Amino acid sequence: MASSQKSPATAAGPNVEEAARGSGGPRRLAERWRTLPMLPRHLIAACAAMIAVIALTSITDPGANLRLASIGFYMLAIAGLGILIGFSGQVSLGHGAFMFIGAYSTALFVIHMPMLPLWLNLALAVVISCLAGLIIGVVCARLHGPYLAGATLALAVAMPALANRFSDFLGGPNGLSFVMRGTPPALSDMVSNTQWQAWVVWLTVLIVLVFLANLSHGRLGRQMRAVRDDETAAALSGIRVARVKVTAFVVSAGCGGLAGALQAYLLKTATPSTFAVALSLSLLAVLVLGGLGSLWGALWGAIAMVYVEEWGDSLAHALTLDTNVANNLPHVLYGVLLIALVLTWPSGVQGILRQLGNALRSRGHSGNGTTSVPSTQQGK
Amino acid sequence: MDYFTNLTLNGVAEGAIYAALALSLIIIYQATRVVNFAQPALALIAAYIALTVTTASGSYWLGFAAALVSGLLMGSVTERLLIRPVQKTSQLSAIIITLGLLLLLQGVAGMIWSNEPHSFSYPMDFEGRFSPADIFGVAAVLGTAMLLFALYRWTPLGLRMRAAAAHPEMARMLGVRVGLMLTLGWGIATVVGALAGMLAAPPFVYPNVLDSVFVYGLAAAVIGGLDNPFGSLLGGFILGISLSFVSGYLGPELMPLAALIILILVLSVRPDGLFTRPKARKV
Amino acid sequence: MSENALFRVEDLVASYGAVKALNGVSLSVAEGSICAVLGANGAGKTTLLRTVSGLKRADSGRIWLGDTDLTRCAPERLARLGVAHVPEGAGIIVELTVEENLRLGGLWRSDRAATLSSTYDLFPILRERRNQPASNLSGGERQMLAIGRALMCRPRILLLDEPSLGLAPMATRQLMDLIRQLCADTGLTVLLVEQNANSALSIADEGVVLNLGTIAVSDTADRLLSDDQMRHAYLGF
Repeated sequence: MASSQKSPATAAGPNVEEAARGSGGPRRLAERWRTLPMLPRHLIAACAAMIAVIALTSITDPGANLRLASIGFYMLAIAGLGILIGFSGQVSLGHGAFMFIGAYSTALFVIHMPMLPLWLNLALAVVISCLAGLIIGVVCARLHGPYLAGATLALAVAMPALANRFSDFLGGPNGLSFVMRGTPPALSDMVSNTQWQAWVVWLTVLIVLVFLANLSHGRLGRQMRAVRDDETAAALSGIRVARVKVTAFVVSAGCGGLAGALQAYLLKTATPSTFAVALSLSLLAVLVLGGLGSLWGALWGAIAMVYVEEWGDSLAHALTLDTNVANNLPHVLYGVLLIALVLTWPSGVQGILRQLGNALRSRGHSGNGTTSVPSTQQGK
Repeated sequence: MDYFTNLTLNGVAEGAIYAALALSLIIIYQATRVVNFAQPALALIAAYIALTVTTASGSYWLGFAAALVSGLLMGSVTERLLIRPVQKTSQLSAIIITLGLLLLLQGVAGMIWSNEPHSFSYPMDFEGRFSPADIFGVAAVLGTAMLLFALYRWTPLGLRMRAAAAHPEMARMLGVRVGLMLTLGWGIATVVGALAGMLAAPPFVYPNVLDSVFVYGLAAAVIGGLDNPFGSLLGGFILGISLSFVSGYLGPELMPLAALIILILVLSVRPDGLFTRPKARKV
Repeated sequence: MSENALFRVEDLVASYGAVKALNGVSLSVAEGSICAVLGANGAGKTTLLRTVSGLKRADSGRIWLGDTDLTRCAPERLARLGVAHVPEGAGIIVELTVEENLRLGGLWRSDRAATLSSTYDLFPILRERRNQPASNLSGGERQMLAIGRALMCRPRILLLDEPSLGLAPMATRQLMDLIRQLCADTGLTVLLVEQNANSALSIADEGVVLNLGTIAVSDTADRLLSDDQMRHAYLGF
């Protein structure tokens, strides 16, 4: 993400007049940035993020590259879930099911149609998971709250069970493993396999994120928020509620599917246990942890998804705990973190950062007496 | 035919467990409009406490009682400490809190009792078709349901609890201590959850033992309709018997898929469950 | 009148954020009398009742019922101290039956069975429909149920918030007569908040007019009814 340009802490004053008076270079640059149309702004941010990823992978070891790539696909999955929950207000507990569909589609394509190029493979995985999202969305559009939660939870449980049932085709509990091409031969001297993988993952993720950012700021995003806040009012003002809800489901399923496909590409396997209910619940949990309603929140969530477990493991090792305690420390840590954050800061990590940014900014402004309007949704 | 009868009776026994879990979810949902995802973890801890007490004292029933009492305590404490603070914020907050508690308690269970399965005894003889243990399970669940019905319908306490759930502000003005009623609701619900845990755990207990039972319990609650405790009982038995047939005739791996299909079929016809009366929107 | 007043509010201040909804309101109601609180939308009428019944915190000021200080008392305790509140829209719990609603009004009292039957004598229509869900009742019947429920705790003071809201003129008339009758028969004290000033003043002994959180006028009901200037200024008729 374009942290170099748009982190809340560095984005300068939102006050238009002030910037027009031309008080200093960085501020004017920030102002120019703000007035750019949405698409180029998001594209520039994405390019900057891609450069950051390439720069990061050049100094890290293969393990870290893999983790970086994992952050990428988890971020995509979480962002998709965020569209569904944060924008259209449908709480799904079955997001992992779409990752399952994406991962298994990719695996099956690689195994049965090895000549397909990677991009086509990923695109097909997206199409299939969007179709699945369409079906589930149509069925679930009339459901509310716990009914939707129950149905999607059942979905999350049923999908991995499919793999066990049709073990000839889907590989049973061991799943499917396959071989994929790594770095193109021309680059193999300079670029390691894991670096290349991280790049591919992040490039795909950023393209979709640009799409999501535009979508959530555009007409459909507004309609979704209207539906989330009051379905009846939205319907009365001419929004086709069912269609908007289903669209949200399709978009979110597409993101989940692509995330699953990227995970399969990265790990070169697809196993049912990866997509157990715990995955769906964790995705929901880290989404709230990161902060709903902003793609930045998805980034913090993805980082938590990848690192909390690892920190738990290394903490357990460092403390040389009893194995029972050590094995379960990450879960406990996760649970405590979630509860503590919701109790103390329900807007998540992004909420904390935004507040910090606003505090810093209003301190900078306190001299000239302008009130700083808290800019919402920084950095889409 | 014999096989069919066997499957039906097995389904009834399993269904009783789903019904109990569904009931515990519904009591909480009606009181505080929260789906308690921590229910399997609370029931799990209760089952482990029963195991510890039974091992120490040698009496299954002492352990059973300990499980129910600990359920009452854990449920009350959860409501008071974790749910009350977020009750007025978004529903998602409460969901996330219960998810966090699920992770926390399952982890704690693993820390204390290890992730390895411990053998967990049945209340009674469990051999054969519709064994005493099965009969005990069904009778316990139905008996509990009837007790709860009597409590809610015919006692002043039950009236207070219903009023507190339906219209908290008005209930307060009529002298009802709403906070206490909600805490009590969570306590009672968790006792029922602990009962389900005691019935579902045998023959082995391990941290994830109740996960699938919980999914089916939630499915049963949703099938029956969350506004109707009897619906959830029926939903539990319907789901239990259907899944038993699926498992017996088509294979146990298909149970989760069958549950999904049943759920989707029911909800696409009745989005608020089978036994919910259509209700005008509250303005 | 303030020496023998049963219910007194002294210099009450309550606010929503920076907005003061009540800004130093004082009033008193003599035992067995009806005091009408009038005023336009947003004058602070409902806030006054909500503050009295503990649903809203007072910033400062005191509320007395006889010698008991009610200020910052929790709502669930107030009912036991003899304050019954019928909120705007009656506050019927539609999930319960008519009789359950009534019983809820005085669950802690040992004489509740007797009170229940005397409430039914007062409202025969409620006895007829005792086992029906309260959601079946009409607007006027809901007000009766709410008042009946409030009487179940044998209150010393009854707070009524806009009982005529949404009722037909006939039903309003009957309701007002009923309130008057109750006071005459049982010595009940009533604080009646109304927008419908004519109806309210027709049965009240005293009246106060709230305007933007302060008492604009306070006088006997008869004099308020005949004061054209005041009516034009605050009540708009």
